[in-house]
Amino acid sequence: MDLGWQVRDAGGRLVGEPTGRVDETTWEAFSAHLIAAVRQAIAAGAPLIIDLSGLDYMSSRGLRALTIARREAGEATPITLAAPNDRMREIFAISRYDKLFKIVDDVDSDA
Amino acid sequence: MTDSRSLSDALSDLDAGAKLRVRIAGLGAALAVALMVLFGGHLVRQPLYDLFQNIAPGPDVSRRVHVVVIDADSLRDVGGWPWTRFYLARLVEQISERGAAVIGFDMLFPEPDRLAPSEFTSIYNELPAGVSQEIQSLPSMDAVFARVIGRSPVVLARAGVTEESFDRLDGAPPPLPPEAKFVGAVPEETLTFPAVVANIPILDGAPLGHGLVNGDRDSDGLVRRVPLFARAAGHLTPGFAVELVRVAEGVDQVELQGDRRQLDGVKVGSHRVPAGPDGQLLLRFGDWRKTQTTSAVDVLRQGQRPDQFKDQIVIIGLASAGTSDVTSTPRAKAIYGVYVQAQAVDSILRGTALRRPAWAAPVEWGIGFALVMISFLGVPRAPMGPVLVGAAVEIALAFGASWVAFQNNLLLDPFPMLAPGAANSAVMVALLFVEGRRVQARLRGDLEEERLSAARISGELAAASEIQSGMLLPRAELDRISPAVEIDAVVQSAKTVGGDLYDAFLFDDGRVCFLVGDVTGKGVPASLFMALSKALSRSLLMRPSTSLEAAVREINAELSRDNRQAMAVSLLVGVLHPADGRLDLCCAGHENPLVVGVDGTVRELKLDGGPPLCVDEAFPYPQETDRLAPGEVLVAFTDGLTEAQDPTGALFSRQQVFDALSQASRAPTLAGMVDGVVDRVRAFEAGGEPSDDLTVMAVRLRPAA
Repeated sequence: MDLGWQVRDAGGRLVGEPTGRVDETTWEAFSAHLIAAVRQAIAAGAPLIIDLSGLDYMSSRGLRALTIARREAGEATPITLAAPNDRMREIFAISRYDKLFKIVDDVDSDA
Repeated sequence: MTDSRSLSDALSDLDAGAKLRVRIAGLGAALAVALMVLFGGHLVRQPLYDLFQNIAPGPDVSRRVHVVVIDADSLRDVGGWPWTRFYLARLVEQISERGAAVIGFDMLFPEPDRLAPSEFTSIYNELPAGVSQEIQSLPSMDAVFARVIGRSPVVLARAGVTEESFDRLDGAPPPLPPEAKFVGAVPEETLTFPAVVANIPILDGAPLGHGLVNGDRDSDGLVRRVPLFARAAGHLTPGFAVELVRVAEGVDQVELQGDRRQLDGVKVGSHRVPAGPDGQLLLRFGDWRKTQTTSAVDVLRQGQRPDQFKDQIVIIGLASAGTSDVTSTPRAKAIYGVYVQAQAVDSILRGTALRRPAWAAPVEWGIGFALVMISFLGVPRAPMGPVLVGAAVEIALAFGASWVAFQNNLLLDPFPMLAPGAANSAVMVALLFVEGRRVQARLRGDLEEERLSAARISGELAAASEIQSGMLLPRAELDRISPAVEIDAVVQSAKTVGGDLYDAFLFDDGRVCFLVGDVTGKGVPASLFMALSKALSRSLLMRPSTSLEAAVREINAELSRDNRQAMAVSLLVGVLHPADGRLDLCCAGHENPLVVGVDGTVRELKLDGGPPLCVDEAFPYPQETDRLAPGEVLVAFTDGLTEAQDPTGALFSRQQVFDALSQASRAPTLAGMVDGVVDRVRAFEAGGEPSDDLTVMAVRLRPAA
C-alpha cells in the first residue's frame, strides 16, 4: 500500500498532506516525512497542520509516529491534526491522542 | 535425469567454475580420444574393415587367372614333395603348350634337385667307376628345368627376408638384378628387405621375370596386403603379382606414380593399381574357393584341352596338407598362399584393390572436429532426447559412409569422425549430471540448514512464549485471588509471543486491583516491553498508601525513561472495593471497559483517561470512579476484540461486540462467559488469521454468602 506525502505553505502555516494508509509497511516513511515537516516548521517558525483527509487508515504504528513527531516538536511548534475520518477519530478517542493533539474538522477551520 | 528434461536446466544451475570444469573436461576427453584414434585407431579400424571384407566380399577371381595346385592327388600319383625338377619341367611345358600368357612359381628353388646325378653317385660309391662316370655325365634335372624355363614365359619367386632369417643362405652369391624396369620416383617409405632368398643360380638366370612372393602377416596374424614392389637386397624388385602381369602384358616397365613423399599408384601396362605409401597392395578378398584351379597331376596327364590355359596367368603353388604355404586372411582362417597371389593378380587386372584416398584423413578429421563443436555447443543446451537421436544419426551416417565407400574400394575411417565428439558428449553429459547432483545436494543442504535454523528460532520463540504466558496468572489462580471478587481472563497471542498483558492482585484491605494492557507493536520487542510493563505496574501499584492515579503516573514516568524505541503501552487499571462495589479506574490510551448487566444489557464506562503510557511522560492521568452493582460484570479487553476482521476484511462492529457480550453473559460461570466472548470473535474471523493479540478479562463481585 502506497503512502503519499506533500507539504505546502498556507499563509504562515505549514500543511503536511499524507495520502493512502499508514500501516506496518508505510509507517516508517510516514514517520520520516512527519519529522522532516516538524523540523521545517520549527525552522520557519510556523505551526504544523497535518491534513488527515487523504488518509484512509492509521494503525497504532501511525500513533507511534505521531508520538515521535510530538517529541521532536516539543514546545517549539504546535501540531494540529485536521480532518480525520471517523475511523481515525475513533482511534484517537480510544487512545486519547485527542488529549495530546489539537484535532480540528477542517484544515482552514482554525488558523 | 529423464529424457524429457533439458540438460540446460542443470547447466544454468551451475556456477561459473562448474560450467568451466564441464567444458574443459569435455574438450579434454575429445582431445584424448582423438590422440587414441590417431595412434591406436587401427585396433578398431582394422576389425571394421575385416567385417566389411566378410559382408561385402570382392568379386571372385576372374577366369584370366588360373591356379595349378600341387595337391594331395598330385603327391599321391607323382610322389612326395619336393618333386624332382623333371616333373616341374614337364608341368611348365604342358601349361606353356596350352597357351599360358605367363607361368609363375609361387615357390622357391634354393637347393639343387635331389635327383642330381652327382648326388646319386656320391651316395652309391660302390658303383663301378664306369657306371658312376656315365651317371655323372647325365644332364641334371635342374639343367632340364632351366632349359624349359628359358623356353617358356616363366616368372620365378624370390622372398625378401631379414638378415637373421633362417631361409637366407650363407655365402650365396648376390642375386641378379630383376628384369622389370622401374620408372618414376621411388617413395621414401618403400618396403625394404635387407636380404633375399633366391633360386639356385642355374634356375635363377633362366626366367623372364622375378617377383617377391612376400605376403607378410599383420601383427594379428592375418595377411591383408602384398608388396607391389620392394627393395630387396639392394634391388628394387617387383612384387610377384606385378611381375606376372608385366610379363603377361609383354611390357618392360613398372611405373611408380606420384612423388617420393606420396605414392599414388603403380602402373603396369594398361593396368593401374592404387598402392599404400609403402608400395603395398591392399587386398579386397573374394571367395578363394571359386578361383579357377587345376590339379598339377591333371595337367601332367594327357588328354587336356589344348587351349586350357590360353592367355591365362597361371600360378603354380603348393596346396596339400603339410606344406608350409598356408596363411590366413580376414576372410579365411586357412588359405594356401598361392590363392593370395591369385587374388593380388586379379586385383591388379581389375583395379579392385582397396585404397585410401589422399583426401580421406583431412575429411575424416574435419568431420570429427565439426561434430566435437556441435556436441560442445549442443549438448548443454539440448534436451537429452534430441542429443541421443543426433548421436544415433551421426553414427549411422559415419558408418554408412564408410560402408558405401568400402563397396567402392575406398577405405573411410568412421572413428576419427565419431570418437572425439562421442567422448565430448559422454563426458559432458556425465559431468553435467554429476555437477547437477552436486548443486541439488547443496540446495538440499541449504534447505536443511534453513529448516534447522527455523526450528531453532521457533524453539526459542516457543520458550519465550512459555515464559511470557508463565508470567500471566493462570485462570485458576485468578479465581482464588479474592473471596469476594471473581476474576477471569484469557489471552490469545496472534503470534508466538505477544504484547498483551493482564494482572490482578489483592490489597491487604480486601480491595482487588486488576489491569489489562496492550503494547504497541508485535513480536519479540513488544513481548519484552510487555514483561517490563507488567512487572513495573505490579510493583508500583502494590505500594501501600499510593493513589491509583499517582501510581499510574509513576508507571508512565518509569516506562518513559530510557525508552529510545518509543514503544508505547495502553493500560487500563481498576481497583474494585468489594464492600460497596466502588470502582476506581485509570485509563492510559486503552479501550473503555464495558459493563454487562444482569439482564444482558451492555453499557460502556466512558473514561477521560489519557494517552498510552510512554507517549507523554508527564501526562496527568486522572483517576475516575464508577460503581459495579452485584451481578454486573466488568469486561476489559484489547483491540484483538474490536479490530477482529472477518475474511472479507470487515471489522467486528461495536454492536457485534455488545451482542457478543450480551449473549456470552448467559453462561453459568464467569469463565464460560469469557470463553463465549472469545469463541464469538473466532467464529467471526471464520478461521482467518487473527490480526492482533486478544485479551478478555471479566470481573464481578461474588454473590454474598
